[in-house]
Amino acid sequence: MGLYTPPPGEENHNKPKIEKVDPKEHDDDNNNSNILFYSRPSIGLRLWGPLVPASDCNWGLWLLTGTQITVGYIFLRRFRVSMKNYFMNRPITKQIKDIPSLNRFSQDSTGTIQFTKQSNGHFGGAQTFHIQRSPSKLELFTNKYKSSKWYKYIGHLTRFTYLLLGSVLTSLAVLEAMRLLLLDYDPWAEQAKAAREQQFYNDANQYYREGIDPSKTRIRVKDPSSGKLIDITNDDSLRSNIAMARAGVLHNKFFFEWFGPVNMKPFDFNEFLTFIEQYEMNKEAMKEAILANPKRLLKEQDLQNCKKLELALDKQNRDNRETFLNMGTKTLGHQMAGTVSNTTNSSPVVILPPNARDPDHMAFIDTWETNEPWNRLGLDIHMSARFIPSSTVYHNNDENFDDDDNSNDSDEKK
Amino acid sequence: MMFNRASSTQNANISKHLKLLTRINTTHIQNKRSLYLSTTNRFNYINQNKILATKVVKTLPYFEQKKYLNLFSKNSNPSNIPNPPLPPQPQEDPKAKKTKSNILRNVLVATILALTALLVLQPYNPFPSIVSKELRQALWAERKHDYLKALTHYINALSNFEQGEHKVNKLSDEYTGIELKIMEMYLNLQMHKEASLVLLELCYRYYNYLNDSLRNDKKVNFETISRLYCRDLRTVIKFIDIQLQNQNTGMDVNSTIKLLEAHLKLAESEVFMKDMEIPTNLLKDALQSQVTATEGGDKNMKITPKFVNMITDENLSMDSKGFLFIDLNSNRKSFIFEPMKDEIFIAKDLLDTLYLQKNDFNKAIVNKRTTLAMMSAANCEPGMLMMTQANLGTVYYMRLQQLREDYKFFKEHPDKVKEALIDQENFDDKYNIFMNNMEQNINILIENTKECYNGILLFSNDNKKKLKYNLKDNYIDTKIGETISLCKYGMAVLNMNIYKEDSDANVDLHYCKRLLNDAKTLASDIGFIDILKQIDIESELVDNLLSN
Repeated sequence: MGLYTPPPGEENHNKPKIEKVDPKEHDDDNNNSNILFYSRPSIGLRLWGPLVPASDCNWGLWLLTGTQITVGYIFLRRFRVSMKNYFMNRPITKQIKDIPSLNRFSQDSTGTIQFTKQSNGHFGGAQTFHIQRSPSKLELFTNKYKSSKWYKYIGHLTRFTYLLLGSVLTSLAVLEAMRLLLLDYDPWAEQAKAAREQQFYNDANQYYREGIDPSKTRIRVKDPSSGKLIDITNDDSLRSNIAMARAGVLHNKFFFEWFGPVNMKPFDFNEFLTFIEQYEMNKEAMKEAILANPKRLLKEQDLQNCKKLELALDKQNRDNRETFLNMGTKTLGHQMAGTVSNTTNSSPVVILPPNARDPDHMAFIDTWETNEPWNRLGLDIHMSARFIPSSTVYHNNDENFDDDDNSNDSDEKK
Repeated sequence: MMFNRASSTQNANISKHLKLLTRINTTHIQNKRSLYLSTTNRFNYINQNKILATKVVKTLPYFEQKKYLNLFSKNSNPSNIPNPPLPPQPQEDPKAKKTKSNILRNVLVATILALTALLVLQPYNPFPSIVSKELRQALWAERKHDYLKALTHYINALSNFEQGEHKVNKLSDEYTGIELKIMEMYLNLQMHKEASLVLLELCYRYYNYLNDSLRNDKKVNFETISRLYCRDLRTVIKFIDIQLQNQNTGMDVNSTIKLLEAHLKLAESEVFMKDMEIPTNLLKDALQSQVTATEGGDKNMKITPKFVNMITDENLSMDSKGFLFIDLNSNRKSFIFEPMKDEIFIAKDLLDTLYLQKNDFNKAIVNKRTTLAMMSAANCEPGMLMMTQANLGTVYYMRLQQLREDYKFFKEHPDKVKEALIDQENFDDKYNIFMNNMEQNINILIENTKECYNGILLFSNDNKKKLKYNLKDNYIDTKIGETISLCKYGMAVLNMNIYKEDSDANVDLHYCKRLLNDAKTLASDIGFIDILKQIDIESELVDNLLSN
């Protein structure tokens, strides 16, 4: 790896030094930089602790919310069933004298009769008459326990726990779902997204420095002129492409997709609320400022002009297209066909699926998405300015504006 | 004896059950005597065959049971018990019922899951089938470099899309995507004017929509709107890029600047709506510089505010090996620039270039300073931050050169100042103030330029930190090495400038020579070709100065 250490104290400082990355040293480095893990924020999923996914991992959040709702529902259902059992099993006591079929011999009887609603068979059927056997010791013990007040208390307690757990889990999950559905601007998610991009830069840089271990992998290319194999394992552009690809792979792993960059510290709840509040307030303030602006009418006039211009441009573009269709293929086409083929080498290539033989056999939407024009434009506009001073002149031709050829780069990766 | 005992216990059991029966079942037996055996007989019968007994239970009339249940419920009114006719209903086996419902439930759940999976996994095709057919052909033709054919297909696709059954959303990515493709094809066919018109229409469409949504109380989804801002900036940048590369498309610099400024302002307003800290800080700085300017004298004579080095440990973080990286937790508000962070900074760079084309250095300086502040707040790549500061130094230097020429000019022709000033009382005083102000400005500009370049050089030369960076790296972070070589070169140029203007100044030309040589070796190492030619020219100049 080429390194440049600016203070020229050492010998041969102009030559790029080869630095081997010692695996041990690397491990030490990892251990030293104490990785802190901050559990990801959420409103309703706090009970999951460190398992909560990063705020921009939508599918993870929904998965967890769904699970929580299900668990909560199960608890609520258990509560309902236990309540039913409780009321069904309680025996109803009645005075014998109130029951017409039994009171015909004596209206003054003081005896009572008990009835439990839930019985094994049907009341009055043959199962009422079962042969009694002497109960075992265990049964005796359980019977004793079941008739004690402890059994009653514990029953109450479990029922209450079911109710509590069920309602808390369900309501929290519903809260979280509301956040995901209703909240338009979510600072947590935005922060996680930004952190992912920044982490990608760090990772790609680190992989670039590591390079490729030549003892494990060697990449060779046949030189067309001499026919010899040339080792390009640590060739510069190849190295950076591999670094980017490795970072991309890392970022597609399940762990990373779920948690995002590990050492990112998310906002706490108050900050989260403040950001939302600020955004809404600033929006309102902006509207007021626009209304209070003394030059408002002028500005609106300007905007009207913009709209007119848009319409005019729309018409112009339509005309352009039509004229092209009408004359392009016949006359213009033949004229330009020769010139075009020479000048097209710089434009990025369309990537088609590898087995495509003719246009009808492609999976269209996948192909379109790999060649998304907006993404391509985003890569295309990547440029950076470097202003170079000069002691003779100060005007126009001093600046130097060039494109970083990132578009080519992305093609090579695939 | 044994038998007797057994029979006696059996008898006791029987009598127990008999009691039970008589207590509960008397009415029943009385009513349905014909159906049932007498109690004792029945008991024997059950004892003989229990399976048969369960059958009997099943055939037991349903309403009969209900009657008794009603009897025992709390609110029962014994006189009102209905006694309907008894159609004996065969009851289903509850187990079978349960399994049946279970199967049904499982099937239902499975179908729902399968449907969701299908919805999630199936790539959604937003295009109508006619359009996608055309697009297929177009992509194929484009791949074969037959751009004419591709363009016709794209145009057809667009018109088909418009004439479809549903109303097309002209801001959707699908529609604009096809338009962009048409633009690309125009570019490939060298039809720059048509291409730039497509881009111009697109950016006006976005601009109008965004302005409307700002002014009217339109509820737009946050994600959609930030995507639109991003798209807007991309189209404007590409449009101006085409303008810069092909001068004959016919739009002058002033209107281009106006266009870019308007769009940038819109995007920035969206960014700063999320957090006001950066604009308030910038405003404070501006106010402070105004105060110092008014202390200096006349209101019209402004003094360039001082620049403070931004390449410090606060804004850049370094790992234990000496490589720069982005600390995710250093600027926690950096998320406000997403998702148009790249676009904003590219647009700002572009704006600077346009200002320099117009020789409007003051505006370029202000713009660069705000860019620098925003970049450090946005957790930009360290190389980009350093390069921006180096560029700022260059802009300061250019402004210095301009001022020096003006200064010389006004010194030689004091009458010109007289023309410029409106009230001509005590002209000499005012002339002196004017020239003093210029001198002050020149000094401050020299200091600022030095601060810019020196900040970077000090940071990179710090022995304790041992900054390292990738030397031959064309893609990932090119700019650190380039910045350092640019700064070395810039320092040399600045020192030479000072030496030329003011030979009394303490300038070591040998030091300049050394700086230039350093810059040259570094630039040739990293392949920074643009600067090499300039370095050669400057080296000759230094040699000339040294030989004199």
